[in-house]
Amino acid sequence: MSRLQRLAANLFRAWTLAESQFPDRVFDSLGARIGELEASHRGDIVFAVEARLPLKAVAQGYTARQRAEVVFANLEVWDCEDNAGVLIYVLLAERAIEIVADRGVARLVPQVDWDNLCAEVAQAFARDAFEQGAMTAIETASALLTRYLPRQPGQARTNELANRPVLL
Amino acid sequence: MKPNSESQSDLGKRVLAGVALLAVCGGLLAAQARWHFASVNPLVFSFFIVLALLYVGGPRYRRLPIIAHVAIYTAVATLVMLLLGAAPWVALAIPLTLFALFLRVSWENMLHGGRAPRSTRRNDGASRNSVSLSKSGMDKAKPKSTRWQTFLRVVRHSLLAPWHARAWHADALQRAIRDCIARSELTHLGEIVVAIETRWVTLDIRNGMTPAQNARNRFAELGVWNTELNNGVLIHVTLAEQAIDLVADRGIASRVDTAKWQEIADSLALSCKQGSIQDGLLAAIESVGQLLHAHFPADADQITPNELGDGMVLT
Repeated sequence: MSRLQRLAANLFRAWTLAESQFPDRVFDSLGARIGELEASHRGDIVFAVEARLPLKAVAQGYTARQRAEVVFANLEVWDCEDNAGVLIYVLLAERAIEIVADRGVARLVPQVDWDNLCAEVAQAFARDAFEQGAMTAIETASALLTRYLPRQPGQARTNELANRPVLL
Repeated sequence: MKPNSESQSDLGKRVLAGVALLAVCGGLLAAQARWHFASVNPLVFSFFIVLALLYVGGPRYRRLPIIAHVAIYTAVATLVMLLLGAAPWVALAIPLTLFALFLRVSWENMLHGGRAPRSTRRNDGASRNSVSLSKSGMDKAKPKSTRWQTFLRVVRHSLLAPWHARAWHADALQRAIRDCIARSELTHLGEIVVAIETRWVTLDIRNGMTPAQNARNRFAELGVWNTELNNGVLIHVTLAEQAIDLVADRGIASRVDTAKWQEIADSLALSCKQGSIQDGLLAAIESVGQLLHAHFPADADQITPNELGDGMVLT
């Protein structure tokens, strides 16, 4: 997207989206699903939704990726055992999804897998199937973590970060 | 049935009601032949406009019950109508009030989905790994401070803190700190960051930010957590609060007793009180470096990675 397109998207494309697509019911079900799936891996998934970026920031070239990294720091996703926090950040206005994985996960999971996940979810978002896209993102990310960072049967579970998605 | 059809039709109804109300109000105002803008003292008028804007923008006032909102809006609308010289139309004050409230609610819904947005800066007082020390006299600034205390804090932050800042921003001090950190990091694998913050934004003060919480937020923002062995240590000084906080990442915090951090903070506070800022800071960096050296020593032949910068962070 060019900068003008991004400006227009952030100005016009997210009106009421957070309200209509992510009501409390959806947040509850996403949070419950994250909790269920975390039983099988050692990672910690945080899902954050933002409607739009400030226009001034967009005009200065601030990207969704940069915002996702700031959110990763501010939501303290880095503060968990094994450095296995994963942030899934969704910017509704641009239909964008960004994934920030901490070093414990990033060194195990290959970049291709994350790219495939993002492409799949971005397709769902382009069709405006937000709930389905969010669920796909959570399930695929959990599957990746289960493959590369499985929880051993006797291992205690440390759920250090809240499961419920965060509206920014 | 579509999952969100209910909320959408609800929204449609509210938008329709808003448009209808707007049409009614506009029609009534247009029916009035002339406006009396010329008779309004612009100073008085702008005072009320500013008051209304402040009221809408201030987060503190949103906790009022709805009846208080209606009363305040009605009073402001009545005053504005009287000032406009539209005495017979004062009756419009109540519908205008309801319309303004409706606009505000629908605007907030549009922006945040009907729920309060969660700030990414936390002020809930949760600080697990940090040791905080506030010097005496400043402890009054608790989360539940009164308006007068908040006002005094704002004054202190905006007027007094820049005065203190000159000593801390001296070039010689910055050079000394940078050299000291660079030397210290040759002996261990940890990372030390020194951050000096002059003042907070007023919103943080009004929200009851505590120095410990603020230091933890800064720990996150400055990326001190971004180290391979989770052994970054932040030495944070808030000048306006005269508070010194040490925030240690989990790798080092789990191996060191809390009392150790407290000791370092105490001695730094003491030397700041005696006026020897530079000596105090250098000593604090030395003792943090010794702790890191005890738990994460660097091998002689190994090049220690410098993951974060050595310079002092000034804001």
